[in-house]
Amino acid sequence: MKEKIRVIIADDHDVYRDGLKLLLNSGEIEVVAEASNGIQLLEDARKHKPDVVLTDLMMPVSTGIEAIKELKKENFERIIALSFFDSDTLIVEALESGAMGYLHKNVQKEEIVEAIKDVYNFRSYYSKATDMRLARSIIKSRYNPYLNKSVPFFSPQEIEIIRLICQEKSSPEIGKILNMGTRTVEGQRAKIIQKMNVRTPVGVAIYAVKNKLFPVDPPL
Amino acid sequence: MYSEENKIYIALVGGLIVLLVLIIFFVISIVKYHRRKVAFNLEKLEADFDHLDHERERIAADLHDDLGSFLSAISLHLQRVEPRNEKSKDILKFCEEQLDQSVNKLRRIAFNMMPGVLHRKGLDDALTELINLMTDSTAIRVNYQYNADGISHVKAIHIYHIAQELLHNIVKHSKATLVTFNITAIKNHVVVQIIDNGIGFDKNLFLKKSTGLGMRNIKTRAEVLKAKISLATLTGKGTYFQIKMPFK
Repeated sequence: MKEKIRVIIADDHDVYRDGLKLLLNSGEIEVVAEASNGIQLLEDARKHKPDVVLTDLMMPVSTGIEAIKELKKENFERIIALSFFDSDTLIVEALESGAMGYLHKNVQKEEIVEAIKDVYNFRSYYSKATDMRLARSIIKSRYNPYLNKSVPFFSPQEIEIIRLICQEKSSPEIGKILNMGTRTVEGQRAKIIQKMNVRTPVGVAIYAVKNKLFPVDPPL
Repeated sequence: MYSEENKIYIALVGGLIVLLVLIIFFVISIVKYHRRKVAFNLEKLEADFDHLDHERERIAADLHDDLGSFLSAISLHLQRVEPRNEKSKDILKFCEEQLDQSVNKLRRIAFNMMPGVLHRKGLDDALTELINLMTDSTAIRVNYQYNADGISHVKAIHIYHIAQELLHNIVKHSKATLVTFNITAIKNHVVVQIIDNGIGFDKNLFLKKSTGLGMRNIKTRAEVLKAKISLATLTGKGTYFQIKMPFK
């Protein structure tokens, strides 16, 4: 049998933690410990050496942000921050402190599992509900998961499509602008997303700007 | 010796001097009393606001963090339900949607009361979030510049709420497309300027009728800040609003 992904969850609300645990503890994920504050999370992480940490950001005694910073110092990298959708600054802070991804608190199970798997495979994860407003804040922030990583080659046409994706254009719209069929655009899109190893248009935008794929100022 | 007439004059002058001293003394004590009363009122106003803002902060945090987490927890638990037929599936879906909306609504209420970011990260970040929210839902563009690091938290709360009120008015009434919003520390003062290119309004009518809760709030908060408000507007020519207060 394939080994399960070992996860620690931290949140100061028991009901929320319980819900998360019951939801995750089936299939390929195993919740090995639960914490209700940052300090407990650190202790649990040292003891259990989890694959992935899922932590709330607002906790008493020691916040999630503080815990993320400490975990990062101890070489735990695969951390997912849990936050409410309206806490843009908090999410940016979590990413700058070392979280590899973030999830909004009221998401569906499938997305939580997807995020855990992505981060388990050292891939950044941005909650699907991320709007361009948050994306802009992330782009402007110090967070950069792509430092010292090689960038694959993107053709001029791909760059053009990436630029239009960043401007929130849909595939038919991009097709019209570039004189291409919608199908072709979609094929190119899929290829770009695969090359960048991201999941959403927001992921494309963050990747593109952080890797300076544009010769000019960010298009956002 | 003095004549009878002189004596009367001296008595008269003496009496006048005594009366004058008494009047001066009386006026001085009235002025003093008045000043004390004003200071006392201002202190009371400050204390009232302090209390109000503190409570707001607490309620907003409770709503946002506690109640929000409970609702999110319910949503997680609901996801484990396995509906037996189409009807239960529909009901479940409806409940999940309603729950989602409740969480969103709750967040918005909490944010309007007192955004957590103001306490956590300060005025600049809080105003940035406020402006982001505003520009997200409207076609208004805001040029925002913040150059006043080191403002105290209490002052920050007042400035934030004044700005919130003014921006709210702009969105609701002005039909503006462009807003310039500066907060600048100059020497010992902080100057807040909010300028829009909207339809403006009749200032006299506005001042006379400024009994709205929003404008009254701005005025009282300005009073606590010992700030001076300047307002210039003309029907069809946009609005210039400035508030200047001591930094410390």
